[in-house]
Amino acid sequence: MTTQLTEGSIPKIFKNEECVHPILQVIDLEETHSKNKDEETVRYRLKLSDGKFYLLATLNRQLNEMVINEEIKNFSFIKLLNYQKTVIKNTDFLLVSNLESVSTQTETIGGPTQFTNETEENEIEIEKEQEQQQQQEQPIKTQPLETGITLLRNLNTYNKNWKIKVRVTNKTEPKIYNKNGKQGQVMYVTLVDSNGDEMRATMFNDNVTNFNKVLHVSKCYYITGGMLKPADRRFSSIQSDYEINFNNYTTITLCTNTSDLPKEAYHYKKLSEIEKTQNGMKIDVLGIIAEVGELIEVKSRTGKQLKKRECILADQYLRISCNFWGEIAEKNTFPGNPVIILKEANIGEYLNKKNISASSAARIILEPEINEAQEIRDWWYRGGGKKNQEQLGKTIGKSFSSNTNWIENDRDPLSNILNLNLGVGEKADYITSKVTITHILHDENNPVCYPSCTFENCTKKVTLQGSHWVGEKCNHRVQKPNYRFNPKIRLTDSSSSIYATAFNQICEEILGVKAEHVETLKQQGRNDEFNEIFNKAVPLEGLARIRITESEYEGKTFKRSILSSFKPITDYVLESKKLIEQINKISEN
Amino acid sequence: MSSATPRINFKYLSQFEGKTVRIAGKVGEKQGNNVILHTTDNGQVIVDRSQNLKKSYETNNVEVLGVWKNNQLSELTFFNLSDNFDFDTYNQMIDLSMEHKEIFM
Repeated sequence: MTTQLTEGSIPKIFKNEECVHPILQVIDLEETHSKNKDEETVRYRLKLSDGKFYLLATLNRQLNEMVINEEIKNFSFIKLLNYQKTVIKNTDFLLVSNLESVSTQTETIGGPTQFTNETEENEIEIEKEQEQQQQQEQPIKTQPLETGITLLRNLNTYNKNWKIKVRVTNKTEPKIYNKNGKQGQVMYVTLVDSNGDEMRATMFNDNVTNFNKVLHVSKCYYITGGMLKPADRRFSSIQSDYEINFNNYTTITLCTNTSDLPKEAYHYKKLSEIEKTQNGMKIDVLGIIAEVGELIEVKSRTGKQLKKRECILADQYLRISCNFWGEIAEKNTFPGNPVIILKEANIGEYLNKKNISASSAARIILEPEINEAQEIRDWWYRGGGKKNQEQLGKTIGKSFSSNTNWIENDRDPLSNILNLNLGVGEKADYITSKVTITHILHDENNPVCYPSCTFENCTKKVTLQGSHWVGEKCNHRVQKPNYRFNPKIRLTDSSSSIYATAFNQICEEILGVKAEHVETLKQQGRNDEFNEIFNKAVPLEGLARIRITESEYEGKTFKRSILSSFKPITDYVLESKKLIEQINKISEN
Repeated sequence: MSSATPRINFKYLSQFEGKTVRIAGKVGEKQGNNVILHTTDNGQVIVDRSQNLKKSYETNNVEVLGVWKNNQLSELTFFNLSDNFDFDTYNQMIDLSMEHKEIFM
């Protein structure tokens, strides 16, 4: 009877998956002696193989006899009955406590290799790489394929014995500075590792001279030694907590095995992020050069003549002024409206409008090969740039308050609230949307109305204090309060769904009852009638005028929406004509 | 799982030989069990009402649901439409839905 080795059992054992009594081959059986307080112990070490992979193993001493009387020999097939997997000094070992001899053999079956963490990852990586050849994105690995290399994201100040493998994607010219009367020079490089993460490195004085000869853009290096410091985001847009200072302990070696290092790190933000970011900070953005200005000369405050080129950078949602200075302005004429990633741009503001500027520290990646860039290009070819002109008014001249012709306005999908980042800034934003009211919150946690002051035109909230109702904010005292609606209403369209607060007038129109009546039903416990009022009002399709602001609560910002007007659709023919008009506009583009 | 019965007008009929469709139009002349339906794109369709004679059209405009075969629409059921039904807008809708079949059919 010829018994076969149990295929695939070693990987299973390694991964702690179930594997019942596998038949394995003993390879490299050796005797070891160790002295422990005058006692000498003999132990047998071996490799157990399934024909493809092997693991290191040790026999428990009670099994030593089986080796001595040659029940187990080198090349023997055994049935593994009981074992424990352990890790000693980063290597996986099997401590075998019970096995059965199956047969003797004369040679190693197959050409087994040791099964380790990396073996497993390599197998998975090969699969992944084949899949991802169809995609354009780079595979993100959480463990480097090369042993002994630390990923940039794992660098920390506690472990100084790191070695990184990186490509230099940018190098600045050495810059001379004066500090306390002494002159020095500084140089910065940008590094990217196999995981696609970026980090900046700095060097000063002599190290600038030394490393400037060695470090070249697009080449790859092994680097050890250097001081890790917290990154200063004023000087760099790189999303890394640390930067490295290359000092006298730093070694840099050119590396030729560069297949796992990406050519570029495509980190960038959308244009909508600019609004949220402080002036003076740096940012990387993706956009298309919608307009290019001439190269002009401008006098700086210090009297220097500076070269400037004013451009417009745009994406599907926003346009922004983008000014290039100095060499970067001279070198780049941007023919053909290229899509670019602009790295290390400065965020500024002029006449209440945000803008970005790029000087010598900035870098341009022309036509990056990523999906988002292709999407912008497609949108541009469909005539997107022209439509964008209209949106310009909406985003930059942001506040159109009580516009009585709001019904005729262009409609925004609700998703634009987040996509266009509305509500940020001092003035509120308004949009017109066609929505369906799908629900009106009216449970215990969401009261639909509040007691209000009855003084003249005051509508502030009042609370019962003793025998009178008093307003916290208005300080009026009244005998009996009015009730006014303020429920949260759910608005839904094909793009998104939001809750907006609606006030008295609109609610009276939508519900067809006064708040006082609703409050009476609630106080009298007439819950069925109460609920019926809110349930029968929905769904209701109509045009909504929504006012958007941004608030902060417990450190998080969120959008607040108010339904300032609502007009239910009654003339379906008119609405249909409007929809056809909108559809035809899309087809034109 | 069956899909919704497509709404069409006169010019698309040839694509639906043997299929169940909905066609809207103005009720015209009666000829025995048949009725002429003037479609929204100015076509004329003979509707065979013999399977549904029990019910009468209540308005001048109707949408007929039936099987298009041998140049006749065999009525299965119908829906009354208002007298000020906007045929023009409705017709544009049919054209758009045929243009974007993947959404509607």
